[in-house]
Amino acid sequence: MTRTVRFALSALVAVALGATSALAADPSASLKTGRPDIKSAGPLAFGPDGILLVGDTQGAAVFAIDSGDRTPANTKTMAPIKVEDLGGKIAAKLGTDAKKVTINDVVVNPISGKAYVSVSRGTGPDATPVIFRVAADGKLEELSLDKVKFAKSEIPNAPAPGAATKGASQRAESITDLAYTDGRVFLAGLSNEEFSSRLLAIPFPFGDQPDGAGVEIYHGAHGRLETKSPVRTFVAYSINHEPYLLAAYTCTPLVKVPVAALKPGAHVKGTTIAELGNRNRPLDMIVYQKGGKDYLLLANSSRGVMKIPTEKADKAEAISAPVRTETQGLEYEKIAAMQGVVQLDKLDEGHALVLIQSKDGTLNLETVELP
Amino acid sequence: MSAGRTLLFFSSGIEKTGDARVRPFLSMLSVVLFATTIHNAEDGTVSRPPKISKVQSDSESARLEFEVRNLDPDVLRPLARFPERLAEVFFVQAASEIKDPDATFRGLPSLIGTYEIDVSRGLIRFRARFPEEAGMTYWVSYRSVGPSVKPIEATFTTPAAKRVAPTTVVTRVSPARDVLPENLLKLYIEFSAPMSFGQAYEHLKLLDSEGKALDLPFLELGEELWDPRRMRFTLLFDPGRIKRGLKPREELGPVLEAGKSYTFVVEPDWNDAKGNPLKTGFRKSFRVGPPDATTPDPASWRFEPPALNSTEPLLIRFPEPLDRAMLGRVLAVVDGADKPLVGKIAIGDEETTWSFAPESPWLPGRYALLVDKSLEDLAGNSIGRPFEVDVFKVEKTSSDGTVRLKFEPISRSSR
Repeated sequence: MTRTVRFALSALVAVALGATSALAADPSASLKTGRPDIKSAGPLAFGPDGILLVGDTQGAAVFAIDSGDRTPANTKTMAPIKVEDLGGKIAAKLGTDAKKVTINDVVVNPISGKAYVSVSRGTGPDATPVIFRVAADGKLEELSLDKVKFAKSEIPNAPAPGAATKGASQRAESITDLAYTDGRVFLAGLSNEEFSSRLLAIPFPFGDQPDGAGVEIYHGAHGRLETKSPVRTFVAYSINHEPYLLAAYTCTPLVKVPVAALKPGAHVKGTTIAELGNRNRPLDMIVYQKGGKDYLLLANSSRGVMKIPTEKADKAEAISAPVRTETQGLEYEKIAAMQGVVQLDKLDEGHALVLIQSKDGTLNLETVELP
Repeated sequence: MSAGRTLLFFSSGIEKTGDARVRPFLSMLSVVLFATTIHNAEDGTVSRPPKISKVQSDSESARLEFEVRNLDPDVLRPLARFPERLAEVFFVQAASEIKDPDATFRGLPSLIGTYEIDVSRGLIRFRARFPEEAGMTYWVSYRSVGPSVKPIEATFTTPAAKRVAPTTVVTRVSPARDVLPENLLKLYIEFSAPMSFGQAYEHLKLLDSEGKALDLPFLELGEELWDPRRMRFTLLFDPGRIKRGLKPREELGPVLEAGKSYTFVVEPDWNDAKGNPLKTGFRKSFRVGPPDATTPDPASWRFEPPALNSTEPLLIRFPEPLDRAMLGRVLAVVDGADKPLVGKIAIGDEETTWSFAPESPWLPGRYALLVDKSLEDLAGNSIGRPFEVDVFKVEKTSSDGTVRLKFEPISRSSR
């Protein structure tokens, strides 16, 4: 190709691209170029158009970062990703010992099928946040935070009358999970003082600061005893075309919460759809479809993974009698082949990307078939 | 910059390892450069061999930089046009605890960082993104191009960190009492220095009266609930075994049982933020009493008003211990105009007293204590709401809002 032709073509492409972005509502247009002051990179989620959402517990904020990763995978099936000893490889790239590296979350960009890993380098309060992108060939590339397009939404701290009379408050809120659905970023936060959890719904693109009140989530046992229930992990899920969050509480029940009910200051009680037994503390979950049916795949602290059909979730009655079986409510299946899963995300229609902790503590990134 | 010198800065986006994957590119580049290499040989100039060195940095910046010098400018010129390939030519790998260097470094990803290439000086410099670490071996490779040039490698080892005597200790575990409710919700562990992240739960144990560790008594969260200074850790008992009617409690019963004794143990091998273990472990033995299902009632608090025109503290006595962390945050003294007073809070008598000493003397008039209704007792019952609400018995609850308790300083003559 001659230089002239190439130039003409690229000009055409540029015009076409400009036209597209001007026509479509471009979420990345709300982002500004600079260096986001991320203090810690915790839970991750993908928003629209390759925008990576990063939960920053240390800095009490959520960042939306343009990953620039918008090239769709050509095929319906994403190339499988496999990285043995991901922790060791990340440590090598960061010039430190694997013991000083913490992998906080792993998500897949649904557009490109590339994985994003949030990491802390160092174990003290001054640990450096780093985000890596992992391509199908297993290559690790740092997502540079220099001159990126980003937006920040601060998480308002719970107000307290004593704040004016003493030194810095030691209250902090850990972001336990993050999801994007329906034009909003949902964030679950757990306080290190009062026993409560807030679900914040932040409209995206970020505009006004979210209401600090958030939504308190409650659990009702047997239709009678009601307790505050911190949410450990959740996913967006549609039931009869209505958006819901399927959430797992730290005290193990799995509930559904209608997104429509999540209004600042609301008192929302999740409807229990399954009770996971002791030792099955939820870690991470995804929703997928197989054979025309929807399933929830949930990694838990007993190193196992549960597959739970959600077809009855819309009808699932609140569990209102004492439980007698290992789990109650929706039926579930333990996936024996998936052991030690600590992170989970959907890679494509048929596969999940999992971070597996082996018995010696090594963390391996693997692609597995959805059960 | 002097004329004719090409100094370029590049960020190494994609990092490559020094393994076989880089070879196709290298051989391609060798072909391109072959003529140049011969030309130089015919030129008859004798150049010094390429040399890798570690750039000495001033101690403040603690930068980690390596460079390779004495490179043929003709070799560098095309590289300057393909800066993204620099990482394939000159790269640094780092590892500690090396038994077999070949096995350790083969295929090990190289450090992330930025490159600087100076064609006229025949130099490539690599600046690692992170500073050097103690006890690390850095393996630096220059994979030159051209058929007759062998790769050059050099290693640099930094001295191991000096062992220092551990100094960090547990300064307090609260609640302080040695009789605690069966439905105790949390413990706070305070340290004398910032701690490390990610290893909390493996160092915390709850022993029964026979010294046997209980199975999973605590809620283990990957996020670990720390304060921003990383000096106070919040440990929640498994809420699934406190809440009635839930599967975990139905199966195993509550973690703590009234009438029994337990010992909470912090093991000394928990590392502080500097990587040193604790100076000593910590043990707290306690007995367990009946569960507490009642909300704290501010009407039952006893005020000991301060003396007028003094800065002596206002003292409040609670009939039961309250949450230590929240006592430090959710109570405030305001004047008649609702302006918060500046002063010092003290929590005493096993979290059953709260005092406030103002910076300025108490003036005649009415003051008030504002209490956020989120204030909890040891079992997570807040002023506005019990931990567990029986929806058939309690109509409306809320932890939002504040309670206002008025008080007046008293004149000394009336004391």
